Amino acid sequence: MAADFRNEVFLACKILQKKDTAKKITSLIDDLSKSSKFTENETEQNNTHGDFAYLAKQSNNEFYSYLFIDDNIDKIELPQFLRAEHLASDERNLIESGHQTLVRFIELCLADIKQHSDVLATALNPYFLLKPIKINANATSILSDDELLPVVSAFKNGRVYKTLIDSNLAWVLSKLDINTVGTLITTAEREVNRSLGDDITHDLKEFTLKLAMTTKFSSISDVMLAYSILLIALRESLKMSCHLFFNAICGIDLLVLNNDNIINIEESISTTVCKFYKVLVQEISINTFDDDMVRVLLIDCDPSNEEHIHEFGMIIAETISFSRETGKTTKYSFVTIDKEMIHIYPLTEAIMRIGLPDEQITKC
Amino acid sequence: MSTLFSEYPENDLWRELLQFAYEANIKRFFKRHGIAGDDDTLNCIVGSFLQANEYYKAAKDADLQIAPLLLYYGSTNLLYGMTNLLNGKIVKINNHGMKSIISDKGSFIADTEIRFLSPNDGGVHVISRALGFNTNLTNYGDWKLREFLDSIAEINSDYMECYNTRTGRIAMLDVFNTPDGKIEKIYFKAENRDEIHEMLNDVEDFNKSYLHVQILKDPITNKECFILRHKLNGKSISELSYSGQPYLKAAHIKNGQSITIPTVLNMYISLFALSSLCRYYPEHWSPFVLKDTTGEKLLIEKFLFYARRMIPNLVLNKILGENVNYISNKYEEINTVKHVGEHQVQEMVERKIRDYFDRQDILSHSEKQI
Repeated sequence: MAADFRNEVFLACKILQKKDTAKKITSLIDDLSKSSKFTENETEQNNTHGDFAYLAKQSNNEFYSYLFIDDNIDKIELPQFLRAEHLASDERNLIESGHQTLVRFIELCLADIKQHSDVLATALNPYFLLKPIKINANATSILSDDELLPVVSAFKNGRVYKTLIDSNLAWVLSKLDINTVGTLITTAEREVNRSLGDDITHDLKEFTLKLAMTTKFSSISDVMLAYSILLIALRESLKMSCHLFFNAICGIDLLVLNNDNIINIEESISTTVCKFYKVLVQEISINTFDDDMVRVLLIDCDPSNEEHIHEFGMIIAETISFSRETGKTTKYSFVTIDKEMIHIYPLTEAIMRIGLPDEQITKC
Repeated sequence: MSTLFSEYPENDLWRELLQFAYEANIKRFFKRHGIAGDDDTLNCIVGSFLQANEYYKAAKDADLQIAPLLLYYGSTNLLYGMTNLLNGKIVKINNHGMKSIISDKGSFIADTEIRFLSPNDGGVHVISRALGFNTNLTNYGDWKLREFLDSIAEINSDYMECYNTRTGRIAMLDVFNTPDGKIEKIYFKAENRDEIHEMLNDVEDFNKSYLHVQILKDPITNKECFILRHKLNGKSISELSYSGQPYLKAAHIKNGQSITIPTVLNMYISLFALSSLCRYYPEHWSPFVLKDTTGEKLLIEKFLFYARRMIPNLVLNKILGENVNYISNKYEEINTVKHVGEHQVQEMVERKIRDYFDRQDILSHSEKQI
């Protein structure tokens, strides 16, 4: 039986961690993240790149952020207390190599879709809304295509992917320009993101009610919303995969919430959109990558002797409290992801149960 | 736990215990527990409880010269009566199950050594088993009296002061209910921080019960403390002191083995050591009582007070199978009115509105379907 996408992503992460280039990148990011270091004669030396890593981490877009800062360093107005210097060429090459790994992975995953619709493939690319950056033509991925093949195949075996590619709707999108598609997805995404918790937006609630009560879509707007939701789900799964690859390359361990750090599971709610948790944890060990917003975590705990929770989750909110009276605590709000790394699987399941229309769309 | 009102807890406690000085009550107890006791057993239990009461009454007014001896005899009778009551038969005891060894090395009474004997029919072992503590104490080598005193929460601060140690085997807990759940704090001073931290590792099941310990400095009092939070599935491992304040008790490491002795036994064994001193070594005991210059006498007196108050209570708890708590607060009506904060009111209203609109949505969709 073919391994699921989530499992293959973690297997690819393990391969990445062993690569020499990844180790060099880990070391580079680590160095960039330190404001100063001690030399051999124990004198403190400021980081020659200044606050480069700090700035790059603000946008939380993996290697893209580093390259974007490097490209635009002279155009960004920084407050007086911050400074940043360009990357050296060997440093830039390493970061480009990391970025190229993610780019190549996305290209391979979306190659078949691109044949159907260039617009659709672009819309599914997690980086499509970001400004282009200059990448050296010689930049190569850390993983070869052969090494990426299992994870790419698992992605293409996903039910959401197959529903999208099997649908004839791609031609509709191919008639639209990318900006229109972007607007369409962004509108739906806003609704989805506002529903990643115990509250669901009015429009989405109405939509899920229709899904529960009908066997086919009744309007073109519902069809387009369903289609957009599947696109968002798939794009988010690619985004999470890229973030896990980035973490693996940078030597960042998966965040694990377990009985050794969980104080309380404050909320555990299943809605028609997602399965949502709010978990309070005691301080988690600090490392130099702590400025990075973690996207994916694992909750693996026993709330009681009879209950065990083992779920991967996509973080939607994180708050840290440094109270000097009660200690350091962090509250994570997250939605669980399924084996296809879909974070809104109750919603996508409901859509797939009805199925995207082939005939209906022509009538509409 | 049952809470009883009393203005004289010690008297009322003994009144409760002395119900077992009546045959009819013992028979009722046996019947309730499916035990068939014979007449000898009944007489033995009655005698044990009555004698225990006499010794305790005498100990209350006795001088320190013999008070430990009277309390040890009283406790032995009481615990023996309890053992026979719980077993429904006379359990044979051959000797104390321990002996005292006077140390010439130490300058403190607490340096008196104790050696455990007769694991099968020694008094301390028979009583331990009746209390549910089945450890063979002879496997743990010789002890010093101070190793029992250091595990009694009620005298913990006096113990550290008297013997000038940085920590005993007790960590008192200050409990705070915060918006993020219950936390327990252990305050420390810079000089005993490491010792207390190390001691916590010796508390049985500490790592199963608590998350990693955090260290904080209170911004107002400037006092430093360890912050303890229970794990998601971590059970409470603290005990309650006489004042009701919870505490953690660390194990002793003896002969390479970890052992945590219950409070009632810590007290009983300590009483044995002190009674041996006053009964068999007056040349040591009398000068201590008459002209102690170390301050240890204050600690021993305090210990004797708590032993006199707590041992009978712990025995009653064991017999009744629940903790009996004597309080002097007058009866008050139980208030079940819940107070909710502004945030909670807002959340409740929001939830109600949301539920209302949800219902409306479902109804309108159902109508459309029809």
